[in-house]
Amino acid sequence: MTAREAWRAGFNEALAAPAWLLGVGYIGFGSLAQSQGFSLLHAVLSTVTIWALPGQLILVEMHTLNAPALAILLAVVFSSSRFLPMAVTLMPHLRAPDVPSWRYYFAGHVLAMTSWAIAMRRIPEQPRPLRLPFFLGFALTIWAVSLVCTLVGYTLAGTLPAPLRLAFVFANPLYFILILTADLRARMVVLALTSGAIAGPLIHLVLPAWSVIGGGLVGGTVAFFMSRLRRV
Amino acid sequence: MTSDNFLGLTLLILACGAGSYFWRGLGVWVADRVDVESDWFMWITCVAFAMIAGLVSRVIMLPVGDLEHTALLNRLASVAVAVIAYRLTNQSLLFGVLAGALVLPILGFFTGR
Repeated sequence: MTAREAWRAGFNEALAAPAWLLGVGYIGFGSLAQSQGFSLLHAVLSTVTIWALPGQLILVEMHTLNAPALAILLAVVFSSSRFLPMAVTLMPHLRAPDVPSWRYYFAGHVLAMTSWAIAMRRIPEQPRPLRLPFFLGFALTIWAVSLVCTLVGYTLAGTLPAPLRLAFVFANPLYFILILTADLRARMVVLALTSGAIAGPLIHLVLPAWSVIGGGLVGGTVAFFMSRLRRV
Repeated sequence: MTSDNFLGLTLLILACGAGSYFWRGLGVWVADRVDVESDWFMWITCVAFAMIAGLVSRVIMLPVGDLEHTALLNRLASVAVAVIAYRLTNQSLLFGVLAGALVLPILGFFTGR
């Protein structure tokens, strides 16, 4: 396989399902933005620059509530902190000789939870020189589809029937459940998923703002020590 | 600075984008300097997987927004349908997710929520 074919493979893999599943989330975002008085330019700009659905929803909701700009900024940036461990764990898999480092910094920008989950599963089985092209083909495709879907959602706002909207919203968590549990060979990953699944909701009950990163830190640390105990 | 005018909101969105990129760029920078065989890397891998599992299970167990008005049992049944459809269709993500997602409003129709 050439690098060009790897780009194409990433593109095809994205269009086979993930791009549309994230896309329906962005249709929801676009229609929310329209109903809250955002301009189309602002809705699209947020998908280009923030490129994180939870952060964008926070932006629109807090803006509607007339929250101070600094509070909105802090909340959005805080919710994006999940990209730190995602980038740290993914980039070493993408490394290949003779690739200029700016490409990895670009890959960091187009990284999304969807592309992280796919890449962690598919990329270790690919030859190194093909990994970055595959990842970029995949990540850029879901980015582009999400941009179009932001636009579509903005235009369709208010015409989506409630049961369909419900199915759209639920598609995303289902997608992650299937991706994350499809291939459970590594014991450490099983432990991390299990303890994270328990820690996330528990922390949400006490400190909702901290549930994502807190659930990751607590669940991940427990899993890390459990996997060490089992190894000894 | 307020976000109630066009320019103000544009600047706020750009700032939010830059702030999100801070974590992404920092992650790439750290990845350059971390030994993938080290315990520290194992730990951060655990944190990344646990974080996403926690987020997904929170959405199923304690949802907010539209999903708040659905029954927990219906959501769990939809997850089960998604997993079964995924296995039956030779791991087709599209069929698995579609089956599970469509079951939720259908169950809601019959159970009243």
